[in-house]
Amino acid sequence: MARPRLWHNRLAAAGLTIVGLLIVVAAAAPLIARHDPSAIDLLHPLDPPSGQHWLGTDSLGRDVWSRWIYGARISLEVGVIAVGIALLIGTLIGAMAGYYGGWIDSVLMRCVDVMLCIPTFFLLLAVIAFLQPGIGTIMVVIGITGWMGIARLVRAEVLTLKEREFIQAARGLGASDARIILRHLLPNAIAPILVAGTLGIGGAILTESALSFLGLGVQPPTPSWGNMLIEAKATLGVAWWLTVYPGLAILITVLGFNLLGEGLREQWGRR
Amino acid sequence: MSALLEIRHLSIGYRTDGGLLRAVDDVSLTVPAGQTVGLVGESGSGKSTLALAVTRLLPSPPAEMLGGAILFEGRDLLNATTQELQAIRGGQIGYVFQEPATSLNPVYTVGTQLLEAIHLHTPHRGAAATEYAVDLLTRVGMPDPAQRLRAYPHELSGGMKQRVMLAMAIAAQPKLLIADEPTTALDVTIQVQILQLLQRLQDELSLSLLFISHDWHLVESLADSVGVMQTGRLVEFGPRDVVLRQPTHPYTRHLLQSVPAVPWLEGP
Ligand SMILES: Nc1ncnc2c1ncn2[C@@H]1O[C@H](COP(=O)(O)OP(=O)(O)OP(=O)(O)O)[C@@H](O)[C@H]1O
Ligand SMILES: [Mg+2]
Repeated sequence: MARPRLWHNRLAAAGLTIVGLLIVVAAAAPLIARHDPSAIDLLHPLDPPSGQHWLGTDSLGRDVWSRWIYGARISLEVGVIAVGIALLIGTLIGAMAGYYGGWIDSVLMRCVDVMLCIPTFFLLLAVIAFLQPGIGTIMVVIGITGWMGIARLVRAEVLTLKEREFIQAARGLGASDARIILRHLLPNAIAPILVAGTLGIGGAILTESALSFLGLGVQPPTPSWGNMLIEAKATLGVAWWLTVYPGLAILITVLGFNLLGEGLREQWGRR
Repeated sequence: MSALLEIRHLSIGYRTDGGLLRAVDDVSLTVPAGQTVGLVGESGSGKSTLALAVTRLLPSPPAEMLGGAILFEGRDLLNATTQELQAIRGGQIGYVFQEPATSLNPVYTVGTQLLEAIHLHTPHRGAAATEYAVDLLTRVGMPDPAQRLRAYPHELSGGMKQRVMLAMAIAAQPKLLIADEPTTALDVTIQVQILQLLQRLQDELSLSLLFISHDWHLVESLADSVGVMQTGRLVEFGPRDVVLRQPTHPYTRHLLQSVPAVPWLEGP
């Protein structure tokens, strides 16, 4: 083992810890949350952090700690599924372009170029304009607007891998194109795909927050860090806890996934 | 003596930035059933291009078939469908390539890859398939065959990897084996072992063999007939002894004169 293990790379370890904690919090949300995240208590609006409400309450008297924790669940769900969709589309298109080459490659990569020309956020807004806002929509929208980088990456990987002798050997054994792509090419490209996916989750969570903040993403009363921020905007001067905690959560989560992604990239290296 | 493989006036080009490169130029040759044809020629003369073209393995682009015919048991493979070709590759015509080190997929065990070959072309499934895999490894002289199924390619020596490649190539009991410099990357002693193995397998399975090499000694010890390639053309083709004793083409004579004497490899 010449390379340091993931754990010995401090930044990566920090990323792994953050992501791990986030997963635990999200999974155990019903256990950790101390109140129903949507329970309204009009007698106690905008309470500052206290023993009863660790992170205070919002303008409707809802417990910020509970909403924060359920928000983690939503963010993680959206991030993972959106990136899953992007990985699926990007891997498929990149693998076909790289493997077949020729006109198939040209057509697919021109599509990627065109998609990349349109500013992502504009694309997102355009797609959302036709769909009902909600968690499902936001996952799909982030997924179908975020696969282009992965397609390029997978194409580049496949281009180098397909020249390797074992691919020729597999073809010489009578393996079909689908079998060669799925069983022989992609498993050898899994490391960079996972790195891109990990980095992508951070980005997807950020996008989800931004869209929710604009009211186009996760719809109230479902809590998400983005829509918690929008609700906090009106009371920014009086209730700092309403903006600081969701803001910090987004920051730390995105940082965590980026550190982990970079750590994995270093760990697996480039062969 | 019927021809198993008959290549007629085959021409193949590579489309490059500088125009069309004729890598195989009007080559005709036959591989009779059960016999070994040796193909020699210096680097870049088109041997691999010809070998890969037989089952249409050349990537296109850049490769282009410019004309001719490739008759396998009388059928022209240039007109075959993708499905037919996939059935023939590995099923009727097996390949062994030059680089055993990189011809196995690094992420799968020997067993997984051998089973893939078995599943693709034989009816064996489940325990019977595993048993057959062990049987194949035994036949190619692999020590501890049952344990080796769980080994990853990087855990094997070059010679062992080439034995695995051979096991995969013969899994479906093909009629023709195309071996493209199968021993070039191996140590001398291992080379001899692999060659002896090739000959034994050929006898046991009544294989025809298209054996490519730039080493005259290997070709001399294995081949029934010999072809000599130079810049895409087959400049000489005939029975081994005729080509070796009375070469007609000046290029063959030139090649034969530059052959170093190798005491360790006397005929079989
Ligand atoms: N993919 C390719 N694109 C362009 N030209 C190619 C390609 N593959 C081979 N060639 C060219 O075709 C010619 C024949 O190559 P080939 O690999 O068939 O030779 P060879 O006789 O097998 O040589 P060696 O003994 O080095 O293996 C060479 O000039 C080579 O540069
Ligand atoms: Mg070659």
